[in-house]
Amino acid sequence: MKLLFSDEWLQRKIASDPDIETEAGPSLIGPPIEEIDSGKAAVMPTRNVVQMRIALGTFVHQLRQRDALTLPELATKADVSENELRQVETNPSYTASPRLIYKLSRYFRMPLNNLYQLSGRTFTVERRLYNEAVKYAAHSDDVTPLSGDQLQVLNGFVAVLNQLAEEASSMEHGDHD
Amino acid sequence: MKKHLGDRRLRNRLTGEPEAASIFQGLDEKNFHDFEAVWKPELVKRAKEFATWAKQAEGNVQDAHWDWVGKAKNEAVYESFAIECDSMTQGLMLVATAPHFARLKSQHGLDLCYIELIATAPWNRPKFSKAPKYKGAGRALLATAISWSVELELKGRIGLCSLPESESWYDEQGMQRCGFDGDKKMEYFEMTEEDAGKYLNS
Repeated sequence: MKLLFSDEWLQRKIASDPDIETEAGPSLIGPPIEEIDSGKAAVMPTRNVVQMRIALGTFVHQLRQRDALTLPELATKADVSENELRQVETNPSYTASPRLIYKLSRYFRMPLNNLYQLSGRTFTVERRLYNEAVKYAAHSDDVTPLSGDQLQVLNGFVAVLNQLAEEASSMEHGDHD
Repeated sequence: MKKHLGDRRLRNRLTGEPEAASIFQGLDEKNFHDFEAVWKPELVKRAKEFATWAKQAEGNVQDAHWDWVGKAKNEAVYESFAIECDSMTQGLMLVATAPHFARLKSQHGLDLCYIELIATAPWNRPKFSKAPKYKGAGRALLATAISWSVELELKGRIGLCSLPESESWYDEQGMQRCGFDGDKKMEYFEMTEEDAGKYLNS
């Protein structure tokens, strides 16, 4: 087999290539075992996974409403599949892909780890996040346009997600001190 | 069997100087050892530094679990490639031996080389290391995959599923997005014969 590129070509390209990641292949889907051991997290029974996904679907739907985006518009802006986005919003038995969660967390500037847990991809969940998600979903099961009260509940849940992420971040920082 | 395909140079980001590197087809015990004894401990150690596993994605250690050795030894299923520099494996690639069918409209149904896995050593990754060492391993392996595709008379056509953090890299390389792969749950990219020609001749 002959390599169809020269060293001169490679050097020229290296000089102009951006410094970004080049990895391709299956992504990691793994559980936080240490968090189960510490009692901070609990293994999720199937019914709880469904509750978390209902919360995620409602959450994404309401964020979209808040920003006045149609489903295709959000799919385009967040660079995700429209069909998968629809599944996430409407089908609690659907497991969102890591890519979709990653892209939504970037687009809405939401903590990645918390969205992963809401998606049911982790087999454990932080107890506090689970409690808040169930409470949020119970107050937000109506998918009509957002009322003032619903917006307040949505904002409250956003605040909880960010607070949990900040706490996790400060614990991480503390671990390294 | 491991075959030497040629010598090229990678850029040492720390010195700014190019350094001699060799590209191989087929992995041997040295490559397996480099991965198991050097790459993997770095990836696993770093993965544990993240408070939550989801953050591992942001640090680009998602491939800590990849079974490179197991897959590379399965020669009936994968063709393996490596790039070595400074007596160390700096990049690895597995290409499916069975041709896959292209999905892009312009080449729909034609055979192409499907890249199952492609990775550079942890210390070469900008998100993993604060001072990444060698640059060019990813590009050299992608160009090797195109060369392999031509060797198989597939005219440079290749396809792969990118990790989310690397999608912009494959855009940069001139690969075309073909949408979300429902099975692998990742964005799928293809390079056509024309794209491959432009890639190697630009």
